[in-house]
Amino acid sequence: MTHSAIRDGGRLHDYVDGLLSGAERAVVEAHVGACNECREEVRRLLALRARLAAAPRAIEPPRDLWPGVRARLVRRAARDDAVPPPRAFATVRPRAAWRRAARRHARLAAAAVVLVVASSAVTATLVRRGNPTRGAVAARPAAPPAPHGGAGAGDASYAGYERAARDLAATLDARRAALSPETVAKVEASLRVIDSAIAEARAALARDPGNQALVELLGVTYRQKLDVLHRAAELSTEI
Amino acid sequence: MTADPEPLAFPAPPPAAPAPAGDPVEEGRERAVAQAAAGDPDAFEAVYRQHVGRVFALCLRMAGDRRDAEELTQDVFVRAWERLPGFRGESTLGTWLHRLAVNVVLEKTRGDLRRTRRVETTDDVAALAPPAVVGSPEDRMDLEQAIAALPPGARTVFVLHEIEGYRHDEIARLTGTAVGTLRAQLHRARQLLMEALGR
Repeated sequence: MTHSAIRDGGRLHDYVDGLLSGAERAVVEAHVGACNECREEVRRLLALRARLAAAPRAIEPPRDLWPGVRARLVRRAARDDAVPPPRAFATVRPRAAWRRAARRHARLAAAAVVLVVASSAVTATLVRRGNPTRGAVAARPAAPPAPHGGAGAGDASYAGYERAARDLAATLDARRAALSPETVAKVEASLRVIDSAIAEARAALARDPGNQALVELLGVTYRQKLDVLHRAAELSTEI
Repeated sequence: MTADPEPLAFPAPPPAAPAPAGDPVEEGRERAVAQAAAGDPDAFEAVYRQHVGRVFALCLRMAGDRRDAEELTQDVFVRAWERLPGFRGESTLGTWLHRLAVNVVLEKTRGDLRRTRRVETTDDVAALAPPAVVGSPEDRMDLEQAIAALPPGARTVFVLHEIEGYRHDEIARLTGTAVGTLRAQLHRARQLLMEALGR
């Protein structure tokens, strides 16, 4: 390989980059050893590499860019539904973003129910025994109606759900010994997930009291909680 | 005839050190990421503060202009806010943000090229004009200034390969440039930098 072929073909760069095959590398090495010009070029390339390796990976911007980021998020939240609103910034709540949040909450709550009904033979028993007959449905405590308070819906609107849940939980607690530890653990895990979904939905609703989708979601989630509690309580009486 | 004995492997970016189990600082960062993904702006600001230097450095070097870099950095974090709920933790947040930043800068570059119709269709990078600021051999330009003065295409390839540690095939995929072309751009960028730095 000639000097021109090595220089014009970028072989010295490939050599420094370790990209040459064994045979090619040997040829280039031999040439570099014999050619002052190419040896000097390799030295320059390695010096550049060393300088770059020492360059800082982070450079702080000359001014604080956060206020600009924050302002843009606020503007975008106000302009369209594409961006979830930064809670502390935005005064306009994009409905689509909250609808997405509502779907996420619903999936979370549904996942909790699936956890109860589908994850083991014990839960299968729960489903089978809890498959509501007309009598069983009639025997269940009536779920409080979903509030439609809109902007006025506050904590009091869900007091009925909370009270019903407390009653059922007390019933279940009294009969806990009748259930296997596995079943108790699964029910408690499911309730934790549902309670988390309720807390999230309530927090979202507190920020956006007029969001009817959140109102409905919260009602659905409470009803799911009551359903889980009721099925577990039923099971405890049947065993 | 002796070969240059120095090691030839190009240094890769230093890998992020794994956090020791129970590291309260790392746990705090993970918590901030989770809270930011859930929509907490204060937590997102903490994420911004932690990563802005790395993102700004990438934007500055790839854009070659401080004002553009500032705008791009803001773009990256606005995009990050939108996409953070989808962050699955399969990589570190820093790596995720870094990829996001590269994409944001490349999108901007492509948009600028479309607007100005300055589409580079030649493989002959030697035909690209050298940066005007490269002057006499006596010039001792600051490294960052020298990088900023590179032609845009060569600068992008150079920064991604030399500083950010991307491989040729990865850069080819990101930029839609043939490997042969970007290899030539990389070599050209090195030559220009060596001239600018007077080495």
